[in-house]
Amino acid sequence: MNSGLSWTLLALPVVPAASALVLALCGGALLKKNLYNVVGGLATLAAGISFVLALFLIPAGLLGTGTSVTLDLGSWIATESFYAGLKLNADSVGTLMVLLVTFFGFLITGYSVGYMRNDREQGRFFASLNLFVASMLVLVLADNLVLIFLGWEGVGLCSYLLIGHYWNERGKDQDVPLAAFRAFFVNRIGDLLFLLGVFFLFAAFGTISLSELSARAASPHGFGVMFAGREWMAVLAAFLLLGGAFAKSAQAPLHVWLADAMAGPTPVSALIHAATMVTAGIYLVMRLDWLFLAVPQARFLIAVCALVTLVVGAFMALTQNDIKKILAYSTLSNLALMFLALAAGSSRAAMLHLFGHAFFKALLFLSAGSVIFSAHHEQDARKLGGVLKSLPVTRAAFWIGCIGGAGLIPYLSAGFFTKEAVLESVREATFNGFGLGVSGHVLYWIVLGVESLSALYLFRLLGYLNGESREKTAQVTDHSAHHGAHGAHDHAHDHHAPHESSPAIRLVLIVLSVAAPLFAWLSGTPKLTAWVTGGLGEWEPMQWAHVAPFLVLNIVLAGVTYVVFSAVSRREAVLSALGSLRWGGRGPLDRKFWFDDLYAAVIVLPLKVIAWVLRLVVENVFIGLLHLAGLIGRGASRLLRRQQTGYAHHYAAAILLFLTAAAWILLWRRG
Amino acid sequence: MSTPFSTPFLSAFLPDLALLVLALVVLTTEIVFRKHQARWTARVAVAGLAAVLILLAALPLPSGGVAYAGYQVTRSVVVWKQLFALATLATILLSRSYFRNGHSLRGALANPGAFYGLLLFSTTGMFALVSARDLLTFYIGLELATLPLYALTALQPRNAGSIEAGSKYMLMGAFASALSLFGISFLYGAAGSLGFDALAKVASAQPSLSAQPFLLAGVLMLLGSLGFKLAMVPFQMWAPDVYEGAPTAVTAFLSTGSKAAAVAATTTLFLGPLNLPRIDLGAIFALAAVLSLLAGTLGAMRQSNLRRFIAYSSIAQAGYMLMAFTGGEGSEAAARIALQYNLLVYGTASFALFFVVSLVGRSAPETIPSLRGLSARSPALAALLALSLFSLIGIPPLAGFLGKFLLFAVAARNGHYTLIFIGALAVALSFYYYMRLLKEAYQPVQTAENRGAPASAVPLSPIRLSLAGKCAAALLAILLVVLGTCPGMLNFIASR
Amino acid sequence: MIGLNLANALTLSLVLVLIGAFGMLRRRSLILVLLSIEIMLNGANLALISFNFFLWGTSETGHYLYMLSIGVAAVEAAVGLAMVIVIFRNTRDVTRDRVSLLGETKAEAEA
Repeated sequence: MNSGLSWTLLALPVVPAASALVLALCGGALLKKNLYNVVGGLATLAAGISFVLALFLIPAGLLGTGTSVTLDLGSWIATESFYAGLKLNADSVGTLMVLLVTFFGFLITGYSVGYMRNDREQGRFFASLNLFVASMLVLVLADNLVLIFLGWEGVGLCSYLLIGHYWNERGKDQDVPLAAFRAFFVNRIGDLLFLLGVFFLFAAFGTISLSELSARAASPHGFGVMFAGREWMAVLAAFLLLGGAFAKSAQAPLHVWLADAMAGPTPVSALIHAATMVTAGIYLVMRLDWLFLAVPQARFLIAVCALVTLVVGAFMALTQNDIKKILAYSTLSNLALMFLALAAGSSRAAMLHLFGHAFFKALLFLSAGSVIFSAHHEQDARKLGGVLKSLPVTRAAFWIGCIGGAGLIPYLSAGFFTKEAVLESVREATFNGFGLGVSGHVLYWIVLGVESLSALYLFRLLGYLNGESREKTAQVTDHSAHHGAHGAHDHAHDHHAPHESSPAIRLVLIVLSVAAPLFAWLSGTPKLTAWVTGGLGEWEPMQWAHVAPFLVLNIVLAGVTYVVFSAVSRREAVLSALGSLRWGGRGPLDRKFWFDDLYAAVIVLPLKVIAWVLRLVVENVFIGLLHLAGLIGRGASRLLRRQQTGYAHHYAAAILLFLTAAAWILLWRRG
Repeated sequence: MSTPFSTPFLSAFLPDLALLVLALVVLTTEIVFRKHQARWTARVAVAGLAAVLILLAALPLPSGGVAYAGYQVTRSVVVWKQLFALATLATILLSRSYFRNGHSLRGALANPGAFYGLLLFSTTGMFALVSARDLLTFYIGLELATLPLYALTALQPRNAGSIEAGSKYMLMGAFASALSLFGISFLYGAAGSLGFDALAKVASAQPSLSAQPFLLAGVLMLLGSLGFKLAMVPFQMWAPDVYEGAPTAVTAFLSTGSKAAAVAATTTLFLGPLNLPRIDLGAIFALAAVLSLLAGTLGAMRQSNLRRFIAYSSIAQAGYMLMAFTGGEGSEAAARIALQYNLLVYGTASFALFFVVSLVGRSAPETIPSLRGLSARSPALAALLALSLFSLIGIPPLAGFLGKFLLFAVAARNGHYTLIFIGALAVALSFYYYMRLLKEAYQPVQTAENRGAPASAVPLSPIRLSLAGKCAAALLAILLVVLGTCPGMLNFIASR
Repeated sequence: MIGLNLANALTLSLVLVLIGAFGMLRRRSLILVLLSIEIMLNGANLALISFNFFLWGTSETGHYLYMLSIGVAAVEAAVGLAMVIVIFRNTRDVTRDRVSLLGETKAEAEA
């Protein structure tokens, strides 16, 4: 039953896991002997082997229609009441995800060899990275929800470890451990919801095997039989699982951790917090699409939360100055797009954008990483004026990434056709739930408007990085403060012009810069797309007439933004002109939210207010609730411990009291 | 039913008999060996226990089990006995080094013969307890399992904490014992016999407990005395004090072996003759579970003493395990498997924790701040601590996750969904307090000054493990992982 | 006139148990606390034999348990007294205040 090909499914996660184990055990010893490249090399090799193995899955898993590769290792947990098998399964969706995870896992591990070159804690880093790839593969390949949960927790743990990687060196002034802990805490809430969801799914249907569940859903009797008498459990399960998916994929109100997660090394942000892990929630919803199709309220909730996230993400991306934070908020916004496609019932569009986003966002993060690496871990875009001019490879990569992310040029932008697919799916759907109904057309226009912002924030960033340097115009007020904070070591470096960093970094950037347009071309070819996402529904040709005006608008927006922000004089002239327009020039231009105010005033004031209120409510209330819970817990803890007097007779009195009370209550119930 | 001297019964009874003989032998080893008493006594005890374990595993048992008078042996009873024997074995191995001077700030243990002998007598009591088929054997077993523990707790008479813990434990235990005897007398009054069969017949006559006052009084008082052993709220208050005062190895035994015995006793009674489709009893257990989870969680949250922390954590774990008793009729097998699996997992994780505590406790007080810098002092030990804590929280693939899942599944059978929600919430909160330990362990030592901790409280010397220590650590780590990833193996062993 | 019947015997045993419990709560001397526990045990034993005598006269199982429980009570008393002796040696005092140092309230006061 298990063919040779089946065993590759086992080898896929086992190889990086084994490498992780070796690195965890011997990494320190290797580093002591200065074998830095061996550590990174081993990790890259393991990820590479996984990628090659994944390629073998293509013929059976992807090209065959309706076939899949399966490995059944018998039972994992078998008791009278509960059964979970050890079964791995790669159907077309699974194979696609495996390819995505191993491809980016391999590239970014290789990139990290260059990026982490001088890090003394590389052993831990690469072990975690390999373990992440292994866990993600388990998550993607698992056929039952408990096994998925195993991978789910695994990726969460690795994410926590990797976000906290700089806890020691630079962590003190940036509160890295706190950021890591916050990220893990929100994820724990999600895990809890997920686990409860799995539990209720089990309670409702008596199985947790995905293939069994979807086979039963597809049977002619369908849901009527499945739900019989347990509708509320299935509905509850859908909402709980959705909570888990929202936490992992950073959707409002559980999105707050993603910006914190940027405290980790940049390759980690690229792999985990852009290309792969954050899509786990989307993957989960995709896997359980039969459940969400049957529960329209859940889909309505997806649409609402995704819309909120879309708006918050896009506006927050406009207000940030930290390169990585801009990209992180843009990730939020793009994940929300995928969820919108899912809410519209189009797994195909979600999958397509998942891929497109992975390509352009990984490219953007990796080139940002190259910039940050060359600039000695400076991340403030305003202080990095013109840095790309001395980094030719990174500059090309950044351009391709920005064009891809903003969706400017069909067949070259990785995000163009994929966003288009999402928009089309939204336009054709209607969203009903909780007695409300929204036509897809309304959402379509909102999403279209918000998506135009991506051209703004990406090209604003590009304008800073590729435009004039601020030093040239001798406005160095910010810099003196910055030097003071970073000490003599950095000071010495700042006088050198940044230069391209390491061959590994450059190589990976070149590969991705080729791969991303390749994907763009692929995604624009209906036949290819239909073939690749064949398991996920029909392909409809794109309607150019719908798209053309907005394409032109976006190009103009991007161009204007770039022109404005690439020259210091223009940038400041325009900003101060606009700044003096509003409310008599309140506050300095470099105030934290000046950009927010500016764009909001120029483009759409109401939206700004909405975004602000949303952020206030969603973030402050959420964090406030956390604090409140902590306070209550502390008070109750003190109250409880006060009963612990140390006197045995007090304890005996408690026992007597309880027994008497219990007897009275039980006897009273009788009378 | 077989006669007392038939081969099946004798062979099923043999391990218990062997254990009793072993306990007597160990008591006398002090006379035989003049030098290295502690070492030799431990060796004899370990060898004997290994023999008992082999007997338990190897001796054939008829498929339905055997029974004579007040004693019975079934497959599930054998599994319980294996659990007890394993816990005792681990306790002996853990305790060996405490007989040497300088292993603990609390001073060395003396009287190895008494220590190991008492430990084995307690185990014998557990064996009897779990084999009980009538209330007489049950009561004697319960007392025999508990009485030696009072003495063990107080076995460091120079240490004020130890003697206080012992006397407190003894006072509360005697109180609980009087209650249980009073309760048993009421059950006897209701049933007319001490046998479980008669009890089951009487108990099933009426659907509601409240309609039978004698039965109600008996059940409540027995629940009180078992709750005391389980450290279930509201009978848990002795636990933190006793855990704090007892010698470390005894604390380890209290939180694993003794807890397992309490769970087994509750299983024998409340999944046995008193297990009926009753709302009242299930509700009482559900309430106790919720209260235990709450008390354990709140108590552990801001605790800095490691032993008290472990006590509260064990109260919370008792809360999870109480969920298994809410399943109602028809869930006995599932509940029993869930409990046994959980206890094995919890015991392994606890011993891993105590192993770390015993090594840290060599040079520092057993508090949470003493763990600081553990990852620098011994990465392997810190990793073991992490594994153990992750297992206690229930993060897959470690075994704690599956254990909790099984317990929740039992509670779901009778529709206790609120209980499941609270349980899941407790799991999420437990993450917070268990991670405090790990955070300390991985905290860089340099920041100690910033937090105002005196430098002398932070020993920086690396911890070196002996060969045996390394083996033990590796074994525990492997067990923690294997139990979670291949629980199927467990089925294989148990069904053999 | 108080007749010798089950209800009265049970009432007496309950009174004994309650006296014992009350003594355990109120007495400061550990020796008297131990004594109180003995009284509780005797109350329980009385219930056991009265049930046997009045309700289930044909069998004697209640008496067996009664006799065994006397042995258990003796062991408990022995362990308890041994501890009281140690406490007395350590502190020259056998009140319960000597064994109430472990506890949250004190730990909190120190911290």
